[in-house]
Amino acid sequence: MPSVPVYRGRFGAPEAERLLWRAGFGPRKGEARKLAALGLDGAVNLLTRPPRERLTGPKPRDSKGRGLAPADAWGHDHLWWLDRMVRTNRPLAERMTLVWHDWFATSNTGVGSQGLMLHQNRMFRRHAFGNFRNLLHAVTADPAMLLWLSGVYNTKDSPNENYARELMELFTLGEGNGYTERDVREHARALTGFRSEWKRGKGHVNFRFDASRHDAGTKTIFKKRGRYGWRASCDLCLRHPLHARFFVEKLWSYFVPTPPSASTRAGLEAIYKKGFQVRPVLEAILKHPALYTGPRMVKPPVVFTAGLLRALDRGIDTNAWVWLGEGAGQRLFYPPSVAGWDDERWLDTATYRARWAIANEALSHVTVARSKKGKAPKVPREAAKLVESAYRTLGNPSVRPQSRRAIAGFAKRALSDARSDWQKEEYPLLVLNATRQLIALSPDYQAA
Amino acid sequence: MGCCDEHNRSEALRRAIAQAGNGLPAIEPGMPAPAGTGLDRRAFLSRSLGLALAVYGGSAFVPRALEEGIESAMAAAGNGRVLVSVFLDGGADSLSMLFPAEDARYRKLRPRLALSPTPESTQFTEDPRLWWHPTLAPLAALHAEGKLTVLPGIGYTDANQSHFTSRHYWEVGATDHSLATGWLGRYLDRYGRNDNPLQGLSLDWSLQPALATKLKPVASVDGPDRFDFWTRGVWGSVENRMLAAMGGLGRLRSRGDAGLEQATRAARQSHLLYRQLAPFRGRQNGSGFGSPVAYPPGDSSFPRRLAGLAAMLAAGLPLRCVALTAPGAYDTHDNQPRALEEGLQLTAASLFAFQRDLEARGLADRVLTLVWSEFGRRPEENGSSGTDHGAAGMAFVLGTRASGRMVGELPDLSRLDRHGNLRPTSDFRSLYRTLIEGWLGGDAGAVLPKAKSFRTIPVLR
Amino acid sequence: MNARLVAACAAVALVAGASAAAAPPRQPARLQVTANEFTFVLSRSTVRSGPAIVELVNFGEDDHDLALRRRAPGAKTWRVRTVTPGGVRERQLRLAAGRYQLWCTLANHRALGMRATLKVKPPPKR
Repeated sequence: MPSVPVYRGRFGAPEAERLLWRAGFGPRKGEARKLAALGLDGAVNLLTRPPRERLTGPKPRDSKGRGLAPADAWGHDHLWWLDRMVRTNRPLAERMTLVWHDWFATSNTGVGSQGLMLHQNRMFRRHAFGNFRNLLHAVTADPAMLLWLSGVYNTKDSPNENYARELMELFTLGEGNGYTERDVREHARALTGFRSEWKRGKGHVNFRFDASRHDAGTKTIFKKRGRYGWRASCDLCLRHPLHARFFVEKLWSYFVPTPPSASTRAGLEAIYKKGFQVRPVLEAILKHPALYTGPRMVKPPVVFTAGLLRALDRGIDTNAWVWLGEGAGQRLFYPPSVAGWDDERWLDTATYRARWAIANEALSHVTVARSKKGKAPKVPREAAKLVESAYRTLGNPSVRPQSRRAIAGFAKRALSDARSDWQKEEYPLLVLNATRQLIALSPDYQAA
Repeated sequence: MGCCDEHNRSEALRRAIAQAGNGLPAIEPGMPAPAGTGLDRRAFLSRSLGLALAVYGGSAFVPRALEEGIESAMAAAGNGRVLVSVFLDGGADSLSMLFPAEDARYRKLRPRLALSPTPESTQFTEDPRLWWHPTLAPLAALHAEGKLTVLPGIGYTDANQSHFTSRHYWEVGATDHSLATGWLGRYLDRYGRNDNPLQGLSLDWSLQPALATKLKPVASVDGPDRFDFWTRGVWGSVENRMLAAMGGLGRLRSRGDAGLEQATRAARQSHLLYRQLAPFRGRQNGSGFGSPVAYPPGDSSFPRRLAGLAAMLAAGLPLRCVALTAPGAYDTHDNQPRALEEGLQLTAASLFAFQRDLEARGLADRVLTLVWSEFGRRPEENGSSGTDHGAAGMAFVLGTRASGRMVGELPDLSRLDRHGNLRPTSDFRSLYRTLIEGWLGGDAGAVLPKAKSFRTIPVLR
Repeated sequence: MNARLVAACAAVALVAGASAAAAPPRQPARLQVTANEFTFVLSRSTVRSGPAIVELVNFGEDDHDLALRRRAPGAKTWRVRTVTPGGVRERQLRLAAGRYQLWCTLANHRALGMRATLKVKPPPKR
C-alpha cells in the first residue's frame, strides 16, 4: 500500500504557528510554543481529537452592547460564528466547519432564513471530523440545501437537476469527471421526493422525504441499473472510481496550496477508501512535509480576522466585522456561489484595503494616544524597542528577516523625522501604532 | 417611541470601508496644533504627503524595472482610448426617456403614466414622433451636437426578467449563467497589462462585474479621492513613511512562493494605486479636482466620481475601461414619475458636465461613455403608478466619437412579445462587438462568445 | 456615532420601561422579518412580551415596509419604514401579550400575500 510521507523536520514554534493558521485561526499569545512542545504527533492529535468544547473569553456583543441573536438579527449570524472561531478550544472543528461551508457552499441569499443556515452550520460542525458518507447524506437532506439547490422542487413529475448536477460536479467527482448528462438526469430522478410546506409567515417548514413524490422507477446511473433512491444516489457517487481522488485532492487543497504528488495522493486515497473517514485523511495531510516546507497560503478574510482577535485577546464587540468581512470578500453564510469562495482571488486593491481596515479596527483597542488631559502612555522611545513591542502586541508572529528589516527601517526613519520637542514626545506613539498595522498587513502575516 | 436603526448593505459597506476615506481623523487629543505651523491639519497633511512622495519616488530601494513598467504603462495608455460604462440600476423605462407622445397605443398602455410634451419639451430630431423626457434636456443638447448615439430598443431575444440574471448577461457580455468574468475584464485579460491596476477601474466600493478579470490586475476605488489607508493614531510624516513602507513590503522578493507572492502583489498594487491617485486625495467634492466646469452640487457620489475621472484622465493616468453606477432607482414598480425624474435628472446633468469637462480639458476625443440598463420596462403600466420588468430598453453612447445617430428604432408598440414586452431592435452583444473592434481596438472574437454572430452597428463615427 | 453611548441609551430606555424590580435588565426579544415578493417570513412565530427589536430585511427586488398591530380594539399600529432591496431596518418597540398581525402597507402587497401573524406570550410567572 502506498504510504503518505510524514514531516520529520524540526517542529518548533514557527511550524506550530503555521499549523494553527492552516488548521485553525492562528495562535493565541504563546499558543504556538505550547503546541510545539507536544511535538508534531501530539499537536495534530490535539487538533483532530480535541477536548470538549469550551468557549473562553468575553461573550460576544454587537455594536450596541447587546447579546447576539444569530437567527433573528442581520449580521449576527456572521458575528456568532466569528466569535466561535475566536473563542473556541477546538479550532480545527471550526475550520472544518468552514471547509464544509465552502465545499457544500450554501448562501442565505437563496435560502432566506438565518435559522436554517445555522441549522446547517451545526450539522457541518457535528460532521467536522466524521464520516464523509454520513455528511453527504446529511447535506442531501438538509433544509437549507434543499432550498438552495431546489431539492424540494425535484419531483417525479417535474425533475429538477440542480442538486444532481452539483452533487457530482462540486461535491463528489469534479466537473465532467466520469459522468454524463444522462447520469445527471438519472441522479435527479433518484433524488426526487424531498418536500416542504410553505406556511404563511413561517416560510418553508416540515422538510421531509415523501415517497409519493419519489420516482421509484428504475434508473441507469454510471451504467448500473437499479431502483435507486436518494441515499443510493449519494453512495453511487462515493463508490465512483474517481471519487476518492476528487475527495483527497479537494480536502488537501484547503490545507496545502500545491497539489499532492501521485504517491501521496494514492496513499491518502487508500486511507479514505477504508470507510470514508475524514479524520485519518486529515491527520495524514496535517503531518505531511508539504504543509511545513511548501509555499504559504493567503489567509481567508475570516481566518485573518479571527486570528488577529485571538492574538489580541479581543472578543466580538462590534458589527463592523460583518461589513469588513464583506468588503474583504468573505461574508459567512453568503458564499458567492455554489462553488464557494475562490481561494486564488482573495486579494486585490479593494480587498487589501478592506484588510487594512480590518487590522485597523482590530488594533483600535490597543491604539496608543494621549489621554484627554494630554497624558501620553509610556512607550519605548527607541526604534528597536518600539518594533519589538509592536511584534509582542500581535503575539510575536513569524516574519521573514527581509520584512523585519523593512519594518524596522520604517520605524527608524519615522522616528528620526522628529525635530521639535513635541514631535519627539509624540512620534513614538504614532510609530508604535503604524508598526503594528504594518506587521498585520505584511505579506508574511497575510499568508501563512 | 423607539428609535430606528437602518442601513442598506451597500451603504453600510461603503461606510465601513470608506470610514478611512471620509476625511482625515480629528486632531489627536493633546497634540499641539500642527506644530505651530499655522496650517490647518488638512493642509499640513497634504503638504507633507507631497514631500513624502518626492522622497519615496527617488529612494534607492525601488526596483527600476517596476518604475519603468508604470511609466511605460502610462506612456502606452496615457493617451489611449477610454471606455466608461455607466449602469442604470433597476431596468430604466425607455418609454419615458423618449416617449411617443401621440401614439394612441402608448396612451392606451399608459393611461396614467403617458407623458405629454410641454412648451419646454424637446422633440427627438431623428424621429419626430418621439420626445425627450424633460430631465433629459442635457442629453438632447448633446444629441443635437451629434455626440449622442441613441439605441431606443436594445436588448436580446427572450429577455430574462430577473434583475440579477439580465444584469449578469449584460455584465458578462453573453446570455450565459456560468461566465465569471466581465466583458471588459476579458478584454483586459487579452489586451491589458500585468502591471497596471488602473486599466480597469471600478469607481465603486467593490468591483463592477463587467470589469472582473481572470488574469490581469484591475482596481476598485470609491472615488479617486477616497483610496486611502487611514490608520488610527497615525498621521503626518509617520503616516507617509508607513505607506511608503507598505509599498516597500510589496516589493520584497517572494522566491516563487505563490501565496506570499499574492500577498506581496496586493500590497504593491495597492501602494501603486495609492500613489497614482495621490493628486486626488484630501480634496472636497468635485471642485477640488480642478474641474473647469461645474458639476451638479449635492452629496451624490456620481458627479464627484465623474469629476474625479476627468481629473485622472487629465493627469495622464493609464485608464482603459472604467465602470460605475448612475444615481437613481430605476426599478419603478410604483411612483414611477417621481423616482424616474430624480434619477434621470442627476444622471443627465452629471453626464453633460462630464462631457463638457472632457472637452474643456482637450480629452473628449479619447473618451466614450456607454449608458445602459439591464432591461426596459413593460409598456403596459401596472396598477400602482408604475411599470413592471420588461425586455428591450434604452442605451446611449456618448462622446465626440459617437455616431450621434439613432441605432435601431423604437420598438413597435403594436408588436409586443408574448409577455407584452418590447422586442429588441438592436442587440447588446452587437454593441459590445462594435465597441471592442471600433473603439478599444482588438479582436471581439477573443473577448465575446460567438462574437461574429452579432453584426457591428453604426454607433461610432 | 459612539457605540457605548448608544448602548447606554438603549439600556436606560429598557430599564425605564421595565418594572422597578432589581433584576438585571432583560435582553429584548428579537424578531427578524424577511420580505420578498410577496411574502413575509418570520424568524420565529412566538416571542415573549415586553421590549422587543423587530428587524425588517428586504431580500426582494422591490421596496417593502412592515406594520404590526395587536388584534385588540384600539391597539397601536407599529411601523417599520420602507426598506429598499438589500436593505435592513430595525425598530425597538414594546409587545403586549396577544396575537399580532403583520403586513406590508405598500401598494397591494398585503393582498398579494405579504401578511403574517405573530404570537406574543406573557412572561413566565415566577
